[in-house]
Amino acid sequence: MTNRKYIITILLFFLIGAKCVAQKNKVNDVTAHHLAAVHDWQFHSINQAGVLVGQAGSAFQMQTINGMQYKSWFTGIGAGLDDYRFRGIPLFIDFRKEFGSSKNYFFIYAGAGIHFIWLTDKQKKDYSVSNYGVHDFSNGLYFDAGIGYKVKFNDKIAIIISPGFSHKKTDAKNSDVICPFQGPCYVNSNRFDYNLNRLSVNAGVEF
Amino acid sequence: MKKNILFNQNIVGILLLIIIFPGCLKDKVTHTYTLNVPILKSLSAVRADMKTAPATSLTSVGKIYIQGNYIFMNEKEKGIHIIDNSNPSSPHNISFINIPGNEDIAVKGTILYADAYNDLVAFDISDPTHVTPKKFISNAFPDRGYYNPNTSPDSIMLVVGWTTKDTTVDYNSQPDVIYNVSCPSCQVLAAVPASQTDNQANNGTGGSMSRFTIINNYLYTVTHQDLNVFDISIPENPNFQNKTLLSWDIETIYPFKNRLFIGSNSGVFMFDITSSPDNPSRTGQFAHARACDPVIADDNYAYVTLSDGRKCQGFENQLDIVDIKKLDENLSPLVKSYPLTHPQGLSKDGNTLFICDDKDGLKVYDATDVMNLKMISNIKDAETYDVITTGGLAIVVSKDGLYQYDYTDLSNIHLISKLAVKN
Repeated sequence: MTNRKYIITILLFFLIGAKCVAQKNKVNDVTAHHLAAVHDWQFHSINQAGVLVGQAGSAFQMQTINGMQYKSWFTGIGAGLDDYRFRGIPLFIDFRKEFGSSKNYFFIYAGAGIHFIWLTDKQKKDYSVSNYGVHDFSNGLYFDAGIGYKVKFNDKIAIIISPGFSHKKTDAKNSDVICPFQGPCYVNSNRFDYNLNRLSVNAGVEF
Repeated sequence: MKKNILFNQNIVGILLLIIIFPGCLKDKVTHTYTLNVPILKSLSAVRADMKTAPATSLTSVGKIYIQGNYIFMNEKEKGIHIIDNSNPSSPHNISFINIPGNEDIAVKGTILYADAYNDLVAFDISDPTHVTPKKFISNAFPDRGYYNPNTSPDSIMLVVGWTTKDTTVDYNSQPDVIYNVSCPSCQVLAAVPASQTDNQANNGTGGSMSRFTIINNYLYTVTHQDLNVFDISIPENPNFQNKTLLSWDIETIYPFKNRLFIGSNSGVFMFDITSSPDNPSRTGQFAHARACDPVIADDNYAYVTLSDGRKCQGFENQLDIVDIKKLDENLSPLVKSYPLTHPQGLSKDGNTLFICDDKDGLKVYDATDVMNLKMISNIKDAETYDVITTGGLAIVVSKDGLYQYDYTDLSNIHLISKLAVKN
């Protein structure tokens, strides 16, 4: 419950902020859209930070996504930091589609790639070592998807907020040769598969 | 106005999603492990199956023994691989002797001695592809505790293998903890390879970590607490002679001329067999801090590697060099200690000392001056456990297989073959 209240508070904060900026820039909406139409291919950089909320609690995330926009479509390559449960660096391809004809847009986004595991010292201590050996963590699938709202601050900079769903996968493996009191030795292996589903809320700037 | 309504509706929708569908945000964790179910056989059936089988791939390394052109390498609790090493550049795995419960081996001429659970078995290896048991000494090693000797062999059930099944269960109840759950009544032991023993060509050579050794017409074996002596003057008819209670946690036995050096977790015992080979007499002892300690010796010194770890319950990793003469005279015998990474077995050829230093590979030293060992080479091909040196050839047991190195030119020690473990 606490996590949901936290997310709702952030959303409300940005809702109010976005509305204020939207009002201010209303006059220039039509002009800005015409300018954008002239230059169909444009480089955009999206830099955002936020929170991931799931069963294990909440954690920090940040992303930078850089790519090309063609009219209302965007595709780029993203990299980030995902500190939910097992810290890692997601590397992904991102797609976005904007809706609307004003200066401020709704958009939907989706990204998929790989989450490269990068455990903290505490996580290594808590998760990696069991009674019978050290666990090796693997990189795994990463994807996210959601909706967002972009408010243009001026011709070059926009504020974006995007809630959505985020998933990452990893597994921890170990194997050990066990020689019991009676009988031949055998290889004892364990694997823990983690499929982590989170609510993601990001806010940032696009230029 | 229309846009504002659309905007607000979407934000409200998101908020509703957050409140209504928390179930979508659950982490799913599963645990996949191997369940091992024992395969049981009666002791009678186990003995009936102790014969040669077709060669099988090495699935783990064990203790080795060299006799003539053959390498005998055991797979703990399973049996012994016979490897034709007439061409060390191309060793050839030719057969497998099925010996459930086997841990140690020694060879005299055409007779191979192996333990099998509580028993000592003598095998005729005159034809390595058709090995047959010649004699069982039932309950020769009672402290191994596999069975009650008063029970009929038909009624004694022994674990000879495992059937495995991968099992996956949900693990969401304890997401932050990893347990190893599929290890029923297990005891973790370090894989210890062979030992280097003996002095007569007819008796072959073992590694430094063996519990069996042969001097002349006697087979000497150590259990966790005893020294057992078997008369093998008639090789195919071994006979138990006597037992000497030593201490706890006895690990290895090494012969040099008329001496036996016995390593334990707490020290090295030296026995002399000159006057009564069937009843060795203790002549000296070197105590050290708790550690695993294979030991070898030459005319003047004993070389002991100490290593730590769960099995050894020690904290030191080093080579101790001990003056044998001072051992005899009960004086303080330690000459010098050299720190190492995690040393295991060792071997010596003339003034050249070979030490298996686990993940740090094989270390080769000039030991002409024991006060100043000089490293000649550090070969890091693999995690090394034990080594036997014989006439310019170093046979090294490593975690992933059997390596053979040519050291006839110490400035150019090079790998000539590898027999790999296949998992």
